[in-house]
Amino acid sequence: MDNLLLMLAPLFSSKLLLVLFFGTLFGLILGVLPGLGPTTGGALILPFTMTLDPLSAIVLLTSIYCAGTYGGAITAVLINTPGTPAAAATCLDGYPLAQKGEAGRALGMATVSSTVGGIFSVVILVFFAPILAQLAYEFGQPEYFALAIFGLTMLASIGEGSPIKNLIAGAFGILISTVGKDFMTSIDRFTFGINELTEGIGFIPVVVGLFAMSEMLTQSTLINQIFNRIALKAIKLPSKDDYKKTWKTILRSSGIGSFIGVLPAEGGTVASLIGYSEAKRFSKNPEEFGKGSIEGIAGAEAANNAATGGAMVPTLALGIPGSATTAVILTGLIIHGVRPGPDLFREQPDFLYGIFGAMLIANILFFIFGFFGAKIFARITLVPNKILWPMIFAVSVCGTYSLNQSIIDVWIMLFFGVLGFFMRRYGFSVVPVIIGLILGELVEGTLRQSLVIFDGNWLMFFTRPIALTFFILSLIALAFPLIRSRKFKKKNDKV
Amino acid sequence: MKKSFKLFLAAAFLVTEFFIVALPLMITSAKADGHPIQAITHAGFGGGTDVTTRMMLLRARRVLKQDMQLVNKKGGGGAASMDYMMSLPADGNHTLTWTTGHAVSMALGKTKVKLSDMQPLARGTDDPQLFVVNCKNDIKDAKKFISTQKSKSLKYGTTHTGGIDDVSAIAFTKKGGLKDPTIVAYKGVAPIKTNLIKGDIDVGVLNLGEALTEINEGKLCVSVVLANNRMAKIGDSPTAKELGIPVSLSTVRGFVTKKGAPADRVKQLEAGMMKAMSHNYYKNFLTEIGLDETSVVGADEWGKQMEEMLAEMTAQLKALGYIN
Repeated sequence: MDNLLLMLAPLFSSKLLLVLFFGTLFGLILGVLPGLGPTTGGALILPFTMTLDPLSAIVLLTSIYCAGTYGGAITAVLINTPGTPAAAATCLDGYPLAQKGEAGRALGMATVSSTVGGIFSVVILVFFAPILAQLAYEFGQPEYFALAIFGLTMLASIGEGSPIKNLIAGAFGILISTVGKDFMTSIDRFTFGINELTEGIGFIPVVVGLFAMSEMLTQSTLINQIFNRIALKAIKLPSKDDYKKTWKTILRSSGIGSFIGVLPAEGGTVASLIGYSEAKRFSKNPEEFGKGSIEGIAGAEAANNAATGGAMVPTLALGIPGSATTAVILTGLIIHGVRPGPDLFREQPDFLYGIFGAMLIANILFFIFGFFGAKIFARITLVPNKILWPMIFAVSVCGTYSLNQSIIDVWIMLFFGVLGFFMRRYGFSVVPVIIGLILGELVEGTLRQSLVIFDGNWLMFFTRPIALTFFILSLIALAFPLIRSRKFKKKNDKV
Repeated sequence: MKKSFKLFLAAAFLVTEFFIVALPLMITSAKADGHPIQAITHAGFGGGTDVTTRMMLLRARRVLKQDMQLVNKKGGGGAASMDYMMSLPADGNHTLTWTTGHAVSMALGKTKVKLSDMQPLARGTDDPQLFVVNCKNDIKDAKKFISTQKSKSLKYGTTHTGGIDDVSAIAFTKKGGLKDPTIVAYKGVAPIKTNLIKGDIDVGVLNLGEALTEINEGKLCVSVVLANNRMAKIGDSPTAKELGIPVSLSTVRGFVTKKGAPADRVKQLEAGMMKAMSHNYYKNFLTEIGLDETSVVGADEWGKQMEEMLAEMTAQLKALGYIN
């Protein structure tokens, strides 16, 4: 009860409410602008926070985080460009649904599922943070390897391409993940003597290139055609039918997102991809995915926003950032003299529960801003191609550059833009490339670390209960489409 | 085109411009002579180097009455940041946060930049290397830690290879006549701590600030400190020297500018940084990461340490076979 009262504290402070209002609005704008997002925005605003007290500073950063994660969905739905990497999976069904003239419905579902996912994860954070924090210590390298393998099982089935093409694209993503200094041997791989490449290929340039740039190039081929641009008349709250279809998906993805978020260094992007993949796996209408499935939007959006609360668990409870944005928040905590860790739960509960309360309010605020303000953001889609896409180009270049202030990142983004254009043209999905890039490094690194830990005996993997569980889940995941297609065939035969 | 739509376009353009151009400019160029000082780092957001630099900037920009802009140049283990600094004029309008990692990059020949190209300004942190173990493991006792390794190789968790961490582990075991360590390299410190607590590895090569939370919780214990003197916060943990193994290695972070800057400007920068780092903000930061004011020293001492460190890392990397 005391904790609940502490959570409500931000509601009674005009200063904190103002900070929350500004943070949510700023986060939304950052989320909508491709390539920027809450990580860059949080880092950008970090110096300003020194003029605030520690609670206000962290509330500002967390509200940017929550709203920015949701904001990415608006651009994903309306112009097929994820405002943030975590919204990549939202493009898959959000944009096709918008193309069908149902942009309002798509955004309504994205807003509701993001809010539910966000609130669900804050509840998880409040009640289970101390317990969930313990789980992080159970995840050693073998467990991460098994988790990554489980993630890779979705490669074939995700995206709009054929399974074979998806696997090729995924393998390419894994190949890209090997660029840079091998952290186990210190040997540079595929860097061609370019120092900037020793850190590996950045995730943001690849995402912005594959989504924003390739879309710009695709649109440029249509420049002289009369283009039926998607217009948003009004954002629509989901209908009863939509709720019936998606409530299980929203809850499942909220759980998945919270869980993935808790795992250190995972975060919204992996959560949304797994949330989306699981929504498809459990759907009665998997064939609708990629063509404007309302379940697909719900699955991805609930998961990525649920990951925000989840990612705060290791950040606050262990001092281990759960995502790129929480790394910025962690910096904010440290420069304000707050040391994250279990002690924080005992020594500064008012500070901690103030943050939880602020996150809860931020989720409600972005729902309000999204619901009433999405139409303003939607005006972006009414801007003519000749104006819109050069603007997107400028924002993408600035956003890509701003992250590491590296011109090499801009070149990488442009390269992947051209590559994505040709991939799309020849029937390849760009999404498996992203999955391969995210999971490739994890698979390679954790496999090699595990083998050193096990003295080369790979059978030891099966002595680890969590790893074994993920291996079994991977097998089930691989077998599931086969079993379902057999069942489908049997049904058809009977008919 | 309707008038309202044109207005909307103009507004959208202005808003975009504001967030892309004006806002960062407002943040970074509060100005003095129109030139903010570029504070160059090679590290990502939230890491030790990033935080140390930001903490120095907090007061330095006030003391120097000139804004300071953080410029991130990742790549080559610090080589890209040094190359970038060399591309700038030697006018004292930039600083580079130079670390042990830069010494390794220079030793490995990843850059043509030499120590003589840099003007030391001040040291910000001097963070000794620690051998951290699970408190449930009996090797938390330093003597047991050494005797165990006479007959058995232990698994050491390090951040990357070819850096200060594996150099620490190998130098310690070699000089102590112990079994060679098995190095398990990680990309960051978080999994090292998790794997230590889980019991997958035996030793973590960490700095105090990186493990302080777990040490306070009693999950991790410091077996050996690779420093000349014991550390106040972990006074029970002996130094390697006390145990008869003369190895003293630390992760250091300090500030330099390009050689050739006007002498009065160099003095101004050094004095400004020293004053900034004597402020309570910075002192509290040092306390938070388990260090004290002795971390901060001026240009002379810092310059000597840079030379010693480069020589030590070159020798160790040669001994390990990373360079000829």
